[in-house]
Amino acid sequence: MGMEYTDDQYELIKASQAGDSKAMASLLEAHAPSVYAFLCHLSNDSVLAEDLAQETMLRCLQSLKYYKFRAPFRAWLFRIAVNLFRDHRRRMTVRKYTRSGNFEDEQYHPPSTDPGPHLQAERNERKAVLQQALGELAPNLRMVIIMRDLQELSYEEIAQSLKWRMGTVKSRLFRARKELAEKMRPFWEEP
Amino acid sequence: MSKSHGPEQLSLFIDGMLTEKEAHHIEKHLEECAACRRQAQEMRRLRNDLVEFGVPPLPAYLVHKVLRKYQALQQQPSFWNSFDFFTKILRPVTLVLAIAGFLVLWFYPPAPDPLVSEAARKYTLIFESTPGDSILSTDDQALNFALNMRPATTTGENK
Repeated sequence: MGMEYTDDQYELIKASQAGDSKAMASLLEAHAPSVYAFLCHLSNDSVLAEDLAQETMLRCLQSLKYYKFRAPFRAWLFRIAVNLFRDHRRRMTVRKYTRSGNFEDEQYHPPSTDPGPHLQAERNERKAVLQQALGELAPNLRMVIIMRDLQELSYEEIAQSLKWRMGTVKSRLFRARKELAEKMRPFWEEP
Repeated sequence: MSKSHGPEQLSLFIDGMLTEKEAHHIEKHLEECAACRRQAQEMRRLRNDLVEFGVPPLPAYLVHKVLRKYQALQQQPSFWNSFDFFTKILRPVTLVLAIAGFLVLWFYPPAPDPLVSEAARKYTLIFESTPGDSILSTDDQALNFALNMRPATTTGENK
């Protein structure tokens, strides 16, 4: 497995493991944005994503001493996030929450730069359609496509984060892209 | 997709995960197959759209909040370290067990061996029936006698 660490990253993790609070802060600042973004896209709920990201980072710090550099750090961190998200979904299923019902008001709306009202409106519409289509994907497919296309994780990192075999990552990523493209096709084909 | 390539190859091709030879095959196939060409275009477009989706900004306070929470948790003693195991658990438990054991032995003493009890009873009877000149001079002899209903040693004097 590709263990890609720069010396700085390695030193940062080692110092954090030794309890250096400045190193911990730097480590979190380096990785927290991608964890939060991943959870935002995955849950489609910024409040929930914030809670889960906070819990992910806390658990990361608490169990950092057990991290043995066997997997890439980012994959290890995302695995914590994925497990927490899965636990949350399981609890929500038990409580019979539905996405369309309870989460609608808290949906995450990504910020955007302002390229003019017409283009802005079109872009917002495209984002809304894409966001909805992404939300309709099966959770496993949603995870893999977000990890690859939005977070730019490598195939190996995805396999380690989700505990899947490389073949599974490839096939599910293909399925996710195919299903998402099919959902987006009517929107793309509009005149 | 041609039979020589799995459908996932297209996705891998988009990601640049194929070898040069495999990528060349796919490129050739895409020149001939309009359906796959369209699918590849859609996947590229999708990826661009997703990238445009943007990265939500991390709330500024989040990292500090996590660090503060972590430090607070570190300062809080853990359950097992919160008390001295020996003085607060082991010592009282030992004391309670000792008292309980003493009370059990006091109120429920172990039952005597039935054989020995029977022998003692018989010995008492014999001893009381021949006071003063018992043939049984020692306890061992008496016990043997009681068990076997005869003296342990028979001498000429006893006849």
